[in-house]
Amino acid sequence: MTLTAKQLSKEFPRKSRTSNCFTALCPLDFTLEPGKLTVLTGRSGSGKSTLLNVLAGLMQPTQGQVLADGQDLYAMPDVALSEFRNRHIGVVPQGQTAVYSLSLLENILLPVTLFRRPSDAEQQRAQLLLTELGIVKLADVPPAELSGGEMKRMAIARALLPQPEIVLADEPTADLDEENTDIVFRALQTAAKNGAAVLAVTHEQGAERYADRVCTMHNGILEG
Amino acid sequence: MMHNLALRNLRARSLRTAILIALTALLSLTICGGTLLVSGLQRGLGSLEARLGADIMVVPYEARTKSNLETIVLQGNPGYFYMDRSRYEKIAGTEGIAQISAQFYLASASSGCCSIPVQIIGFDPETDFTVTPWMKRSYEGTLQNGDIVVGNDLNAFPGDTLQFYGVECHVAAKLEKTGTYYDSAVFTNEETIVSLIQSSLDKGMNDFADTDPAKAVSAVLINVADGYSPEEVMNDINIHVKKVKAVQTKEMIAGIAGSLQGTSDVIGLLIAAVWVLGLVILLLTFSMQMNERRREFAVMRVVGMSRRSLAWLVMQEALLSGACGAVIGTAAALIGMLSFRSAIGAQIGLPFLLPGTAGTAGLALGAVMAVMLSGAAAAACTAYRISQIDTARILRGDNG
Ligand SMILES: Nc1ncnc2c1ncn2[C@@H]1O[C@H](COP(=O)(O)OP(=O)(O)OP(=O)(O)O)[C@@H](O)[C@H]1O
Ligand SMILES: [Mg+2]
Repeated sequence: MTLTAKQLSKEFPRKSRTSNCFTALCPLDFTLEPGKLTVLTGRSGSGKSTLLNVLAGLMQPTQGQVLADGQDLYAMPDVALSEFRNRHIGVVPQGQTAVYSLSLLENILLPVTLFRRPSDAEQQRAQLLLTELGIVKLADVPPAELSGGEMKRMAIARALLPQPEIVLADEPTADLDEENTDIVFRALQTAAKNGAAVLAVTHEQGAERYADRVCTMHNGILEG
Repeated sequence: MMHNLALRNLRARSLRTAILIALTALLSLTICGGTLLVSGLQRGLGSLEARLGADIMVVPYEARTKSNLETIVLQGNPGYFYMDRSRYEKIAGTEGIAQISAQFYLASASSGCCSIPVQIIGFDPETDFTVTPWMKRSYEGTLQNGDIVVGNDLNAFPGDTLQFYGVECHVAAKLEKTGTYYDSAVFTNEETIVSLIQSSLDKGMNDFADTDPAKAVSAVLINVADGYSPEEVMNDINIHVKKVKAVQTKEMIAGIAGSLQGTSDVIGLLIAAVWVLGLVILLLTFSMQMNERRREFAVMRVVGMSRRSLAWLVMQEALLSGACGAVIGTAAALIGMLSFRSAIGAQIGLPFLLPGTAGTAGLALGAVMAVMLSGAAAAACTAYRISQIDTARILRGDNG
């Protein structure tokens, strides 16, 4: 699935000397191609998360469209968009994200259990991801007892579980050591190899190594 | 799974869930208990009014004080006072009387059936118009000598034999529950009561002073004829018959009913206040949870939960804990009211008659529904607000 942004822009209301709003994204065209891992870097506050959230269908852009294989995300009603995100877009949000009443494994299975009982294949895939990301021993641990890095890996496994065609990861390696960073990028790489369109926002220095394409954000302007 | 998730969330936050349940339990306890109390009081009084069925009651002059009269009429502790039957004849001569009948009150010594002495009320089946109509509801025949009809609270049943002052009495019928003193009384005809008096005297257990027990009566009940006002007749009796006091029973009840209405209003107001307060606290608790868990709700949105489903999840949590609390509180109110109804009646000194099974069940169901609905309303506000969260904004920062 190809994710295309057309003349996408985002402004936030914020008073300054010159204007009443702050432009987080200048109008940009952007395509996320299937089978490719795109790495997006840029200074803090440059608008990376804003772009990622708009692409994920989580934040209405000020102008422009986000098209998934030609389908306009923001033209869909909420129920349809939510279902679309559940089926086709795996999102790893910035920061810690967990449902605290569920165990780590249950958190990972959440995208499935939200709608139905997980199949054996899905259970197996969950185990596979746990092993791959080195958190298999923590399967039954509640999130409150996890370290920041463990929770981050949990969020990645959760996003990858339904084998989404689009993966949007916001600083997926923020809390991780070198070894785990490598593991995470390899997992994202695998997802891309299996045909997903993957976008990873990162501050990581060596991330280009894994990337099929590298973009940079400068004050809301996308380069590369 | 969605259902399960709501349960999981409730269990994971056990303290908050416990508080929510306790709060709704308290709310339903107040609503159910309060309504039962009010309706028990009103029904008790209504029942008393129906049973009394007389416009005027005439008692010997010794029993004339207001508190004495109220005890007799409202609490139904018939005082043990007597006057000579000649006075009855005099009263009967008053103009404007449609129905008149004498009653005789006798306190029993404790008998096999009862831990406390019961009141024995003798009446004249020929003239009676207050006891018979309602006795007919559970007993078709005419009372023979030695027959008694027992009140609902007494542990005796038709066919049993009870002894009073050594006299064997045959239980002919048992009355329905009235919530009034009739529940712990025994009724019998005049001849039987005369023989009971006689044997109590033989055993040296009663003192009738200078009244001849064979000719004694305790009270005279009167219904006024059409075209006469009870007040006139009452005044007439008070002026012309010596050593008696006539009172308008229904007027006394009306007085009590008035103050009871005031009490009911106060209770109603309290219920409303608790209700509003409960609603506010529920709303606060819910919106606290909203802030506390907004990041978690954002995650639900990220993994593909629609706004609608998210709202429903929040509703489910509220409804589950609300239902739990409502049922617990209502059950507590029911158990409390049912097991303490006699104590309540005795404490407030008024007849207390809870609605029947169907009525009580209806009331309880109403209380559960009322609490559930208010909980649902409070939850709905929060659920809606939660469903409208700006997922991206919450997720942006580490702490949301
Ligand atoms: N909801 C909002 N309201 C107002 N301003 C916002 C909002 N969200 C983001 N911004 C602003 O938009 C700019 C871009 O924010 P964004 O989160 O996209 O940065 P970023 O590139 O992801 O930075 P970081 O690397 O620190 O995560 C920032 O200057 C931020 O202050
Ligand atoms: Mg960011």
